[in-house]
Amino acid sequence: MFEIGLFAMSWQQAAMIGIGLLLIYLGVSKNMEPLLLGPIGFAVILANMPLTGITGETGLLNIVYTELIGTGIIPLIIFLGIGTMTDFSPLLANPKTFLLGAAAQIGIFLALGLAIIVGFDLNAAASIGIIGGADGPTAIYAATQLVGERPEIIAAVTVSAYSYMALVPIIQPPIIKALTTKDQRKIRMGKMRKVSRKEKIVFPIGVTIIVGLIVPSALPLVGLLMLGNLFQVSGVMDRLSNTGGNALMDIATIMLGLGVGFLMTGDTFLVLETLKILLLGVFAFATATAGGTLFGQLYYKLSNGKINPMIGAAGVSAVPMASRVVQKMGQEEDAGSHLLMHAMGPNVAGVIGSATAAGILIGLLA
Amino acid sequence: MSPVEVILIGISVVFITLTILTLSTYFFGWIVNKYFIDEEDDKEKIAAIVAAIQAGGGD
Repeated sequence: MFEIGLFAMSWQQAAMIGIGLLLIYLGVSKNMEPLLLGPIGFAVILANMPLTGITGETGLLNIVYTELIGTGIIPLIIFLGIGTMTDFSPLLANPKTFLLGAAAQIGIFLALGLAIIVGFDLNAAASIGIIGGADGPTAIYAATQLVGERPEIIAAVTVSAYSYMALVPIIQPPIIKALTTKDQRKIRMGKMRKVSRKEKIVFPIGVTIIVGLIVPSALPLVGLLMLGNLFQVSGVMDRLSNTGGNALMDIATIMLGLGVGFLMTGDTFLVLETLKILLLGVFAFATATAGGTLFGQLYYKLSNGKINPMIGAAGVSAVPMASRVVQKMGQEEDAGSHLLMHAMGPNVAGVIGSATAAGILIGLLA
Repeated sequence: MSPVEVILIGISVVFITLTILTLSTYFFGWIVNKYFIDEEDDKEKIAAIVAAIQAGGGD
């Protein structure tokens, strides 16, 4: 029997269509993660139109989510793409910045603790904590592995992770300013050494083997990241590197948007838990930034003031936004300061750190 | 497993893993640069030295 959709629409669906429009507006007009928020916003509208069947068992969005995101395939393919676009040279030139990437992961575990206190169970709390890793694909992958049967949590974690990544330039500066002095922010750092091609090739292979041996459950994420990077640095797999970083990445991003949109239906998204997760996400981001900056302070002391502590804040893995924030803040204090490449070391270390943290939580709890 | 155990194990293993990666990166970087510098790198170094000499005076 034919029915008019308008008469079947609930207030929750109407509200979600409004949220979809807001996400499209933020992506298109405000340039906030447009490649993600655009498709997600549109998919939210699709998912909340009444009587379409698009989210039903054989509906397009349901199939995309179940087969490609619920299984973890799409986040992993995106990680491969990120690997093709990531330059680990700053980290190779200054390997001690690896630990700044570790320190920033403290936000994950503090947010996990707070989520437990406000009433979430351990698996949900771990999924929420991963928002502090500031890495969208890692957050989605971890959430699907930890709370696969609870779409409301996966949806909120995903939206939170990607929204806050776009808000890094707003969230980080006040925290960095509160934890550093003006003189510290002025510190210039010297030129970095050149990294040889062979070092760059050995790195992804070595990281894969070491992480795989210590945290096996992190290997899907770290392994795909490093495979993509090997495509890029080898210099002889340009076709694979181009495909992984362009066409494949774009396809995966579209599928991710559609799949996440499927999760954002009125009955699952408009609940109190969503608001709690969004607030916990801010806490996770803020404490991650603080953890990295405080560890940067330790480096500042140990180096007798040669290391600018702000670079620790880039240990959250939002690449390259977090590094840009550090660069901009450095130049606000001293126009001749160039901290970008120094901040990129902890920044890319943060990608490995957050994937490792996610792997540990999956290994312990999934 | 209690939340406190998860938090402590999590933070510890992240630091242990990234510490091992730090030390390995230093070690393999040193090995590669000492014993496996390829021709390209040598050429770049020679070109840099030549350029420095040329810029430094004489003709």
